[in-house]
Amino acid sequence: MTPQAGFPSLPLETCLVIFAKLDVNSLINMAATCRGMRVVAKENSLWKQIAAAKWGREALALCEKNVASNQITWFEFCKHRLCLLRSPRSPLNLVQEVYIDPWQHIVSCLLCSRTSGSERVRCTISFFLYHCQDASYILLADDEELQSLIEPLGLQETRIRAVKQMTVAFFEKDWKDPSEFYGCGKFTSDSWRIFCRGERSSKGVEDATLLRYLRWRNTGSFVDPNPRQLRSSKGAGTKCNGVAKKVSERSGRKHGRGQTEPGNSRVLRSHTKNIVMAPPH
Amino acid sequence: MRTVILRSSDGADHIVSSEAASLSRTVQSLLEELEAKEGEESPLIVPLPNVCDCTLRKVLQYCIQHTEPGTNLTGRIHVSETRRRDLEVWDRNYMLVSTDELYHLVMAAHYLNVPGLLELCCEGIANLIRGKSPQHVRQHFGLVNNFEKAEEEDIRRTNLWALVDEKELAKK
Repeated sequence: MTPQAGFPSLPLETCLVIFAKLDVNSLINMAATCRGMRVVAKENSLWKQIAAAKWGREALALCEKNVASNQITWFEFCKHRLCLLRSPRSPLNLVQEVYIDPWQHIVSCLLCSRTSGSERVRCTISFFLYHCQDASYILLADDEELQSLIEPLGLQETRIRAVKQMTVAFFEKDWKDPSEFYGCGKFTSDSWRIFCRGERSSKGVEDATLLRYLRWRNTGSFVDPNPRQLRSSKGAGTKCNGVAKKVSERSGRKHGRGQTEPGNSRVLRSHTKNIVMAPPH
Repeated sequence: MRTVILRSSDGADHIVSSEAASLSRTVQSLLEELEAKEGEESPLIVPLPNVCDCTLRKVLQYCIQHTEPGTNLTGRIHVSETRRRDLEVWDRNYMLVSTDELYHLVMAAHYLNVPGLLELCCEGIANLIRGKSPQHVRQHFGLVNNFEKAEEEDIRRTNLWALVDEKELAKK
């Protein structure tokens, strides 16, 4: 007698052991194979493990509260807060392209708004996110420590306050759009939709850099009616890059500080918004 | 060292040391029962009606390898770093089996309750799943797409979000 071979014949507990070893992408793929697997792949315990591994213990406590009070499954909870897209990287090399995980993405938006967009800013953000491995670290860390990490960006007190409040709300609240978070405005919300949700339509998007990215995403080139913003994508020499950086720095200074619009002071508005980096040569 | 006889579902007998056989918790508890009933001296025959001969042979390879000098009864390894690495290499080679064999093995490991082997097999199956599209997984594991229309739509939406099937969807 040979036991019937096939996945469905495996005992549930063994299936769960196997699935617990899978990454989120493979798990989603398994859930799309057949009914039996779908039920197993949506198992609460699996997704709770994923949440714990991704965001850490402190954040998990907030997640648990949310899941219990809203009576949603862990799968739904995680699904809304994860990004499995593999968006192509554009020659613009924006900070947001690197951090497509929604939580990291929103943090990077909060940090890069109202900055010059220089390489220093970019490095600071990378270092900050590298230093704070997960959301729990931010929840536990001292304000001063976090502020010192992002000193080169300026406005560190406001930024850290925004990052902390956003992090709590990210897990605790039943949010639909990042613009509901403290300190997050239209730019963050648009950026999140484009990079974490794969939206391609430029309808309603105001930010110039996001528009440039979308144009590249949809047409494959930067052909732009406004020549001042045209930065060639490939094979650009150092000379050209230098100019590009200067332009972005200048426009950053022009719009940067001291221009708070009434009614919007609590929103960290982004003017240059982007970290435009020269492509590696 | 005491030896025991493990009898597979098709009646083939395998003689192994009780040490190796006890890596299986199922066999271990059966042995304890038998010993209590029949005394220390009589030959111990353990029937295993859920495991076929060739799978049992494969399982026993694992058990023997993992009870070589240096491991104690519970399977916990008190050995040098070299030995541990050797075992890892051995395990990797041991896992070079067909998907069908892997199934039988994981079922047997589950039934016989050999924690180390079960872990190893699960890792093996997980490796087979990683990086495959749903279509590919279905083919590989002989799964049948039995979703209803409404479910299919739900999945399509989820997977659009996950973009795992982008190419497949584009074809349709």
